[in-house]
Amino acid sequence: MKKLNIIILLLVLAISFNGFSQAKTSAINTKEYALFGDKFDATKVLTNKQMLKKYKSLKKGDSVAVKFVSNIKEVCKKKGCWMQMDLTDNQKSFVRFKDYGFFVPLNADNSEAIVNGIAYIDVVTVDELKHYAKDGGKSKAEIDKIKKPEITYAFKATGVLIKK
Amino acid sequence: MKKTLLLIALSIVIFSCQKKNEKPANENRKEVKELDSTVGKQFEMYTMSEMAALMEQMYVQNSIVKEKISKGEAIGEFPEYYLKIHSASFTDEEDNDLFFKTNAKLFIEAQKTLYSDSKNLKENYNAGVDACITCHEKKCGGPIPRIKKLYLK
Repeated sequence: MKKLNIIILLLVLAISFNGFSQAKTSAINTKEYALFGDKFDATKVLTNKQMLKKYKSLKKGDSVAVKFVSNIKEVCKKKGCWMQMDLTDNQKSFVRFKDYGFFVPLNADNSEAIVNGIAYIDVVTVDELKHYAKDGGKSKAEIDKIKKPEITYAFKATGVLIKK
Repeated sequence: MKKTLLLIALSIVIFSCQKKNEKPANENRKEVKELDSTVGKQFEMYTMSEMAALMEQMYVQNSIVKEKISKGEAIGEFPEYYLKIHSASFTDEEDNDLFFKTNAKLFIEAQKTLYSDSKNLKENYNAGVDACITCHEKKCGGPIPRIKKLYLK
């Protein structure tokens, strides 16, 4: 009987610790956020660190449907038609919006955002990189330095929640 | 002993559930604050320029034409408002350069051919979409996935 109790206790402990290791989100109060694009449930949202790990597991051509939360590092200053999200470790995700169907606020930099969509590895051409640099307000000297295409952690969002 | 173990087990389960709910989603995230709808960031949204609005109109018109060609219906006359492409104001006037002007002319030529040659509708229509993409590849790649949906297969 004593042994059985110990086994039960160990099982309970194992289940509890498993709960701790899954850092996917808890209740997010979506009323604190403004919605852009399609509505979605802010559940099973990955942290930025978890998202970086997921990106590292992807190969070119792979894609995965996912939600993650992070801070917006940069937004297109002309239209709000793309944004960069922090992935920790000096890495970022380049987020565009499905079918150019919606934009985010021009002053959303540094706001917390939850994105819902498809993560994939993308190669951005020199022309595109220059265009994005210009939209991001970079100087001509910085734009002229762009000579090579870049492999990026890309994200096509169908919906974005931005903290008000 | 049995009761004590059960109590410990229950405490752990309750404790773990509470902790799980408190766990922030973001590494950098601070705890969720109380909702206060009166305090918040005033978001500043982009307002469409004349050129952006014109391109949206042209997108809709091309979608209609695509459907008409698919159904074997007549596509009508060249929409004269397309010519505003030469005068509409830009989101960024710097984009109104020689490259754009040249490609705008090519786009209008492709569209005029589409509306004047009823024998090669599909080819002419797709050539018009090609003209959009050629310019957007250089100017603004964002809408390209959407424009590609216009192609007639």
